[in-house]
Amino acid sequence: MTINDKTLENLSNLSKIKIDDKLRDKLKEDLNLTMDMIDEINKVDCDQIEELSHPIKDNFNLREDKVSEDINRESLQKTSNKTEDGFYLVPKVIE
Amino acid sequence: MALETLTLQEQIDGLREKKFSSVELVENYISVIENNKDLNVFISTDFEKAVEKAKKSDKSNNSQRNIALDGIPMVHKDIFCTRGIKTSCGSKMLDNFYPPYSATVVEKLEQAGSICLGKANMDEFAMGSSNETSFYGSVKNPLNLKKTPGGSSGGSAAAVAANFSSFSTGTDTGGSIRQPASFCGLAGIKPTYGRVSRYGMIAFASSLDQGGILAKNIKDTAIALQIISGYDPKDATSIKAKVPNFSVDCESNEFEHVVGLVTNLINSLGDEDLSVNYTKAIEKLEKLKIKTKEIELPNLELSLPVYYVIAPAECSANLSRYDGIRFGYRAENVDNLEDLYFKSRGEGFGNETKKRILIGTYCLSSGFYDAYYKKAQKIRNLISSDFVNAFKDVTAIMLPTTSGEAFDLGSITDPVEMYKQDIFTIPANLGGLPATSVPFGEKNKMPLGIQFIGNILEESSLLNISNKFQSGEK
Repeated sequence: MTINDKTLENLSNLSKIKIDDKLRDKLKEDLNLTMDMIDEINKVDCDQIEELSHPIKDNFNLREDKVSEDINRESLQKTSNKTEDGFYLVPKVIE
Repeated sequence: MALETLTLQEQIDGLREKKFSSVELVENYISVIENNKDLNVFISTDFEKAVEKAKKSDKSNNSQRNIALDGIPMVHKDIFCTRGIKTSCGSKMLDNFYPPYSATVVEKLEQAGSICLGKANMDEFAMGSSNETSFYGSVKNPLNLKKTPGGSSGGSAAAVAANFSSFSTGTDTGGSIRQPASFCGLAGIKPTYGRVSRYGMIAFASSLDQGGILAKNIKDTAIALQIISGYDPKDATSIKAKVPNFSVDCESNEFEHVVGLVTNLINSLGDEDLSVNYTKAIEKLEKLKIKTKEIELPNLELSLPVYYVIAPAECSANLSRYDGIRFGYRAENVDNLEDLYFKSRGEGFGNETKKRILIGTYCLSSGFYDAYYKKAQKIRNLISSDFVNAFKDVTAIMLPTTSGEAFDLGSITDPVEMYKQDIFTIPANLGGLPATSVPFGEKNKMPLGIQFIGNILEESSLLNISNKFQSGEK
C-alpha cells in the first residue's frame, strides 16, 4: 500500500487539511486506487526526455515594471470578515 | 415563436431585424428557468438586473445594434469572477465570496453587450466529471433527469440544453467543456491554451486550464469565442496573437482538411459501440469528401496517469491560497493559527478537492518529486511531441469525446472509473491544443460526441472542420 496511515498524516500536515476520522479509511482506499493508476508511468523509460512544464513554448509576456492601477485595500479586504485598521485578524501567534 | 429555442445567430439576427426585443428574450428565458428549477442549474441568478440591462439595450438601440452580442442573454460558469456577484466555484470554501473584480472573459462579454442571467453550477473547483462534487448538489441532465449532465461545466451545459440561454461559458482542464457538451448534445470548444485570458478565472491547474464556450452548434461557439479571445496583459500566459474572424472562417470554403484517424487505437479498446460510432464518423467524413489519414499517437494512453499527477500537483499549489484569513470560509472555535488553517481547509473543501490536493501534495513531496512530478512532465513532453509529429501530416485529429453516453447520477463510486471519463479529452489539454466536441450518434437514447483536435492557434481550421461535420449531410 502506497499511502498508509503515517503517509496520510504527513500529507494532512503538509497540506494543512484536517482529515475527518470517519472518512479516513475511504480516503486512503481512494488515494491508493488513484496512485495504482498513476504508477503506470513508472513503466515508461524516459530518462533522456526533457520535462515539459508548459504547453506553449517561449510564451513569456512580462509587463513593464510600472504601477498601472491603484490597489484598493478597502474593497479587497471586504472579502474577509475579520479585519481591523487595514490588517487581517488571526488568532494570537505571540505569547 | 419560441425565443428560447433559437440559436445565438438567430437571436442576433432577430434582434437586429426587430423581430423581438432583448426584454422579450430575457423574460422568456426567466420564465423557462423558473419552470425548471429542479435541474439545479444555477448557483446564483440576478433576473432583476438582467431585465434592467435588457431594457437599456432595447432603448439605446432604436436604429441599429452595432455591438456583437447586444441584448443577448447568456450564462457564466461560476468559476469566472463577477464583481460584487457571488462567485463560489461550486465550493463551500467560496460560498461567501463576492469578488472585488471581474474576469477578463466576463468583462469582454459585457462590453460586447451580452446580459448575464446567472452563474452556473459546477463541480467543486472544476474537479469532477459529473457535477456531483458541487457543494450545491448535482445538476440534472435536461435530456434525462436521472443522468449526469457531465462535468465540470455541467451547469453551463445543462443551461444551454434546457434552453436557459443560447450559449454559456465553461472551462476545460481535462475535458470539462467537451464532455458535458457531449453528454447534453451540444457543441463545445476549448481553445488553444493562452487564447483566452485566465485572469479572474479561479485556478485549478494553471498549465491546463482554459476558458471556452458551449452552444447549440459550432457556428455559435465561434461567434462567442471571437468575443472572449485575445491577448490580455493581466495574464502572463496569454498569447500575443491576432484573433482571426472565427465566425467567418467557420463557414469558409477556403480550408483544406486532412483529418487524422486513430482507428487501430479505438478498435483495440474492445468497446464495440465506441468503434461503431467512430466508424460511422469516418463514413461521414468520406461522404463529405474530406481527406483522412491514419496516424499514430503512441503515448496517448499515458495521458490519464500523467494528468492525475500534473493537475493535482498544480491544484495543491493553487489551492494553498485558501487559508481562511483573506477570503473564503473561516472556521470558528479554533485554538491557534495552525488550527485555523487545518479546520478552515478541512471544513471548507469537499472530499474530491481534498483528495486531489493530497495526491498533488504526495507527488510533490520530498522523495517523490522526481518519481512522479518530474516523470509526468517528461511523459507530457512525449505526448505533446506525438501531436507535433501528427500535425506534420494532418490538419485535425478525430477522436471520440467520451467512451460512452451520460451515466446515471450516483452510479460511479470508484474514483479511477470516474477519472477515466476524460481519457479522450485530456490529451488536448496536455498539449495545449484547441479541441471541439460535436454531437454525433447516440447510445441508450442519449447523445454521443465526436471530438476534433486542432493544431496550436488553428481554431479557424478546427471550427471549419467541426462545422462541416456538424452541418453536413446526416
